[in-house]
Amino acid sequence: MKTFKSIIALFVCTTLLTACEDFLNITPEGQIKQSELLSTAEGIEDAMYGIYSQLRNTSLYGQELSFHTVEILAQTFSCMNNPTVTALTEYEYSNTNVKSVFDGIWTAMYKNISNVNSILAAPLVAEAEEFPYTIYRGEALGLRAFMHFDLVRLFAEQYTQNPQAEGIPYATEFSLKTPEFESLQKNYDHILADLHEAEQLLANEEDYHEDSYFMTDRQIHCNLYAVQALLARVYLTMGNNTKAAEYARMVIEKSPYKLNQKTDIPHDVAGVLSAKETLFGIYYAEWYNTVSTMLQQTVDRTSLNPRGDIKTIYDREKVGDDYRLNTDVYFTTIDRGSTPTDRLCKLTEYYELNGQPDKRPKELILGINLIRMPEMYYIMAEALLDTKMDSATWYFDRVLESRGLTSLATRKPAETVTQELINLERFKEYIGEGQTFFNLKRQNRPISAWDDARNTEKTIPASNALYVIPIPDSEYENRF
Amino acid sequence: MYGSKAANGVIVITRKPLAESTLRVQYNFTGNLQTPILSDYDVLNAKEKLLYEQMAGLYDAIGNIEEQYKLDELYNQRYKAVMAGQNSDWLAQPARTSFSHDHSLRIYGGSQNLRYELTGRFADTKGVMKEDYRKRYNLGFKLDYFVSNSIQISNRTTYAEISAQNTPYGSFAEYVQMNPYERMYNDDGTPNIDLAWELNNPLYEASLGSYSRNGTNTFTNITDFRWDINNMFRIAGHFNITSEMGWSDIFVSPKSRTYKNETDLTKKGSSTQVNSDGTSYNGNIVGTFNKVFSDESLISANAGWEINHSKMSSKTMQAIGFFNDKNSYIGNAAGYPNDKPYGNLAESADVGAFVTGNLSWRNRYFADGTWRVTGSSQFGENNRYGHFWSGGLGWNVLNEPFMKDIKRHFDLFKLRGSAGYTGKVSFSPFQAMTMYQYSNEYEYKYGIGAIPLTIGNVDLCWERTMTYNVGLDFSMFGNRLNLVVDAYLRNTTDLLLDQSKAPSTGVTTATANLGEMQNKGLELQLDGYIIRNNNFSWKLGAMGAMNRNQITKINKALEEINKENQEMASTSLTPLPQYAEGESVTALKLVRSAGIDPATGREIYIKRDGTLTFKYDPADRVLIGDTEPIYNGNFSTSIYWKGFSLYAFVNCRLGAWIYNTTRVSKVEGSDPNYNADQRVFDDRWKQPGDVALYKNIADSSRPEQTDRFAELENTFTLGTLNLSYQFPESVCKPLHVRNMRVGINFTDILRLSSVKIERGTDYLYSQGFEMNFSATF
Repeated sequence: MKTFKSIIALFVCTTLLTACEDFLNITPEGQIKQSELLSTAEGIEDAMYGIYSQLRNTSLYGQELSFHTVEILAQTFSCMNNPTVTALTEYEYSNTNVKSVFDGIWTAMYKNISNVNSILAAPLVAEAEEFPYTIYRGEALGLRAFMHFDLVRLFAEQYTQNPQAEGIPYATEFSLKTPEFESLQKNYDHILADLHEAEQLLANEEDYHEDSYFMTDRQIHCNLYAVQALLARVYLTMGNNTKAAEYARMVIEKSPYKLNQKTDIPHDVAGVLSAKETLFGIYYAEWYNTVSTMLQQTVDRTSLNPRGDIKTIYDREKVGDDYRLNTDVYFTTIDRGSTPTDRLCKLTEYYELNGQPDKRPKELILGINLIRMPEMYYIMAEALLDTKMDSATWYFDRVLESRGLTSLATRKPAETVTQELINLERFKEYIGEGQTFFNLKRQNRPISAWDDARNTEKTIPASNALYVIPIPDSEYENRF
Repeated sequence: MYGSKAANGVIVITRKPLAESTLRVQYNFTGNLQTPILSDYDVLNAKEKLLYEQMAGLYDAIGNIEEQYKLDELYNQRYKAVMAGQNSDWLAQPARTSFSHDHSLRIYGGSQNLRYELTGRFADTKGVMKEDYRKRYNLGFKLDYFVSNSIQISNRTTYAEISAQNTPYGSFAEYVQMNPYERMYNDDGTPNIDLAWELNNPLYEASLGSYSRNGTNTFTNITDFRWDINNMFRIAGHFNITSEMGWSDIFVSPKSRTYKNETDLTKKGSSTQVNSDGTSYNGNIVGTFNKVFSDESLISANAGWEINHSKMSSKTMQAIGFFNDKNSYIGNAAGYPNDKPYGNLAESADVGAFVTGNLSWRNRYFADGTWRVTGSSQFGENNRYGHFWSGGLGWNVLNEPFMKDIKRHFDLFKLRGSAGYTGKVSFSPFQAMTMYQYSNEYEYKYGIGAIPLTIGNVDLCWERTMTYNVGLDFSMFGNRLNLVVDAYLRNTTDLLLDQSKAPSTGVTTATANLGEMQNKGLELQLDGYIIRNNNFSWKLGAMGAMNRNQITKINKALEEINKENQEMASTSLTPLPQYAEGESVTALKLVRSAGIDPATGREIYIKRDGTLTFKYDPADRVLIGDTEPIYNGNFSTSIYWKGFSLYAFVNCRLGAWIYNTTRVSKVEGSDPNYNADQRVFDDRWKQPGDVALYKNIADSSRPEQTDRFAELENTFTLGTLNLSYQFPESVCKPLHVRNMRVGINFTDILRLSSVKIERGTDYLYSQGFEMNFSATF
């Protein structure tokens, strides 16, 4: 009897203990271990989608780095009674509201860089030798360079002014070890190294075109042409015109993307990626909600008003019919009581705005444009300005014509391109896309602003106090 | 702490023999009267508010003449209204005096081998904001069945229902923010919706058909059994299952000002419905062995096993496009929003087993030991189980032969000591091992994305604490004077703390094993009867606790970085480390402030070397103090006189440093478009020469963290005051009542503090009292 009892007791005990493991093995819904996820191609793709989706964070390209903060720094917009926007227009970087905006940008960008590093550290990606892993690695390296480059452009001095200046930390590891600060020179070395490796890895991506969903709609990925265009952008910023022109020409001649016809212009970038011109953009189906309240509507203390002389800027050097100025293309006028108000409607999705989202053609991709073709032509024009004036003018004229304007060469008398003309065209073309501030910083130019009080244009002299945004306090406070 | 309890001795449980009992009925009533305290919200009046707006520059178009003309006109219009006596009392609008009542009834009885109990409760709680309520309905039934003298089974089933409605008047914070120079209502009695700075009138929202309701239905069943196998062995078990269903229904009227910028009628108005359901169960089985010897010595042992599991899920559904303010039925909605569905699922489980043993020798010496293992689904796979042990010794001095002569003066004289390990895993599995989270927010045209929750720290391990405790229990004069003293020392190794990280790491905080920590403390409890006889007694009691916390060792890696930073400090100042040896884990470190510059209205910071600057640098932080109090305690007194009882309870908290965030946001970070605290007007810098406590009134940015907002808190609170009366038998008997009692209870009566209390503004602050009546028939 006694042995029988002990056998029962033993049996009960062992069952209870083995059952425990299963009982306690609960993985929260939607969570998966890093090592498990990144051990398959599908898992890596999902992690890549995660990174792209984070780029639309409002602290990044969903707001601050596209139409908001960096455009306000370029004096494109103002907002009465909004203390943060007002402090931004006055470059008050010690204002705590402004500090928290830049802290948000810095933090969100590095978070996403660490997401990229997580993928790059996965064995399948780190030792990628064949498709599709080479593509994943290429895109990830391209993204890492893209994100660091924008941080460098914002938070460090202009490279050509002082290449030995203090740069930012270049994060290459997925770990709790905080990366070290390094010189601007080192930052650019890293950016170029990542981009050149990405270019090689993505070189044959067209062979796999539409092989899988991941290889479809390459515009919403950091694709080969995005990487090459970015190289052109980076080399131009570094003052290396030869290399900049080499890459810009490569994109213009080899990529399937072309400049628009003038009739393509209406609503071409209105909350959608330009079918012909976008080299890189982010898919974002819900951007309309952010854009419409901040740009389209007139919500007090939230909506941004274009500078008072916006229309006269577009009239400068205007020969021909600028299709961007057609009704409701780049700008719209909203009746607000008695006074009509200008609004930038360039980015507001057209079909949603008109209450007919079902009428939107299926092939349109909703999202945010990050790199578009006209920039490549501007880079060509600028890079060739000192050496081959005819070619420079030729490239510049192609954009003018595609916007409906009369080319410089066919004007009577014929004109040639100048740096001022390129800058003016860049402003007109890229308004609301967050490029103007960087373009002026690169050339260390004064910034033109509209003085509401005197109803005149004023000029803010270039200086590091204006162009170099202080690195957030939190970065220095906790470097342990 | 496991084991330390048993050092008190062992209580042998015996069951009271059952007696035939008659049916008994017990009724209890609680009423609660609350009145809103509006005077605690010290907001500006119309005249002051308008002046504040002007000083903050709201009517300054910075030279734009056309705009200036409009602003001047606006200002004049408002100024005229204020001069004509316009001063709206927004605060009083959503407020009411409320009365809540709560009734419960218990009917119980039994026979030879059966006991039963039926309970019911109804409560209607009303808040001090108009139209909100919370109703509760409970019904329960309990049955105890005695199979024989050795087996007992009991089962209790309860059903509870709660339904609640939030006030349609919205958050009280909105009323605090409304500008008093605005009219609340138009001449025709409708709410005024044309307000300055495009504010929304919450009274307008309250007048619509919008509502927000929620509730839960809970069903619980508890089963207990106990089997006394013989006079040494016993097995007891407990099993509990709870099922809860919750719902929430929120309707926003299409007329709401939320939709003022929406032109599409099929997008105005929304109905949101959330449904949740959850099931949880837990059970345990404990086997006990007891052996009592003739000389009062005793051996006892327990072994037990327990299990817990819970699962909860919720789903949210939304419909938009309602054409009628009153018609909120979801079937009348125009469509779904252009949005994603939302759901939530949570599940957790844990199991545990324990063994305890007790020895007692002639009621003089006691010893006990405990061993316990716990496993939880919330711990990572690699450290799923934690093991703990503890042991204790006790000495009942009173029962020693040498105390024989003086024993009659004492009631209790016992010395105790214990030591034991406890462990803590205060991190989630994803903090130890990188986990990716999928979400429909990360959707990217051809797939759903996943991103890492955080960067996992593979080296994380359990925090372990060794606690040593010695204590004394002492009573004399027939339990008139009682004293309990405990002293403890807790040594924690692998201290788990959240550490701030530089954002370039990819995360802003990370949990890490930071080193070792020591807590030393003393707890003291003293109470005694000043007077005690049948009709009158007066008891006084006091309790106090002191604790000192210190980091005794910081881990190698961190120490090296601290050292490196200090070496570099000769060239540039580096911030103080978040945690350092010899400091408390709750140390408050801030930049010192020299106050507001009378010339500019800007804050002057004191650098670490003592020089003054306008430039804030976090590297200038110094140690201000500890956010934990030095002394924590309470006093209580109770007086009984011929059926009347009075009880009062005073709490005190001394020597804690706090960073006053309400002052930061309400006074310095105030937005001039909204109404503000009186201090904004009185104490902020307005013009050169002002010696002010707070910065320039025209600057609405959030201030930097400085010791200007650090305050040393010393607080005494009269927390509870209770008066009750027990009716004597001479009154009860004729009424056929066995027992009858009335009482009144006041809470939160008086507070004396070196720090001004800042009332929360989400809900209106109120004061009141509770009355009680209970009777047993």
